[in-house]
Amino acid sequence: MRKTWEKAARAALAAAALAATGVGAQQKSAIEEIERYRAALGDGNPAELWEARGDAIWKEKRGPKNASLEQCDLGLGPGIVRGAYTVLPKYFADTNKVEDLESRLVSCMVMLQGFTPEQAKKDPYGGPGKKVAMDALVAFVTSESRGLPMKVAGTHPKEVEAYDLGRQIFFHRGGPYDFSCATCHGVNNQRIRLQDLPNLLNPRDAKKAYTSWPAYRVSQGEVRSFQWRLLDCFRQQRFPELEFTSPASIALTMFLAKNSNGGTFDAPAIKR
Amino acid sequence: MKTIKMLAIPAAVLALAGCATTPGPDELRTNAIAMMKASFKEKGQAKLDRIDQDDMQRLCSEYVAEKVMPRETAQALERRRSRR
Repeated sequence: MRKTWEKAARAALAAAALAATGVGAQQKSAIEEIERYRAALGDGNPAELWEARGDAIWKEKRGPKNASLEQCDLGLGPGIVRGAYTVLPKYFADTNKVEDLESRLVSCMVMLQGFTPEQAKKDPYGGPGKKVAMDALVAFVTSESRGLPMKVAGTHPKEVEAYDLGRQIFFHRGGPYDFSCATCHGVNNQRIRLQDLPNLLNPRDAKKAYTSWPAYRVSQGEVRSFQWRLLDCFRQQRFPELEFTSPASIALTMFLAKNSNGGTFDAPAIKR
Repeated sequence: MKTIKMLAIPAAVLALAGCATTPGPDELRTNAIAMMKASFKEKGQAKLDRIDQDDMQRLCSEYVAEKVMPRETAQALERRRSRR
């Protein structure tokens, strides 16, 4: 009798081990297939169209002052675009604020081109049949940092403050789902459906994730900026709507960007 | 002795300056919530009160990463929640 039980137990254990191996292999295979899908998409990234349009808009004389953005200081000095995204967000003395790329572009549109802040922020995100300047400018500027390491300083007192506030916001639990950013992005090996969720507290994941935005979203047919990424994360948490270039969005970006220091910037990328 | 005094005075001044400018954890949390309230806008049924936290959310947002919640705090929180 005892032997029969032992045999049955051994068989059950073997079956469980086999099943676990099967599930593990299946998961690994699914992840590998998604990676292959992404690599295939990367061959012809439509974000290049946004980059080209952004380049033209950057040089175009616009606004009440009929000026281009070519003298905009993105953090490395007026007119220097190459590598600028790798130092953002950053404190700017002319606005006395920490600014990310999008808020800095708004400031330049106001200071150089004479737009009002409301005009400059009017169309932050594109949609079906609606191509906006902001997405194109973001694609252009970020493309000029491709292949360079992230090096957000975070040393000015206002940058330190933004980082600390961003960290608080990252861990802030609330909303009807009782979620924080950390719920999805503070643990290893989580995913939503087939989408792997990077653990943004893990330096390897933080570098890989942050340096892959902005991105062309195949499912939306649009280039999506980092501001959009945050907006949509909070929407998924069922929070109220995160305002474009708001202080909280910049503080959170500072936290995530600084944590990606050392990672090689590789965007605009392409995502499902 | 004089050298020690000469080093100690600037160090004390720096320490005091640091205390005066670096917000403590409570102030930082308060500032972060105020910043969030100013950075989100209501959309449909998603009102700004969704940013507000109850005790559990507040403590679970505070004891994160390397900061472990003391056992007594966790137990008191569990007791309070189970009484509801």
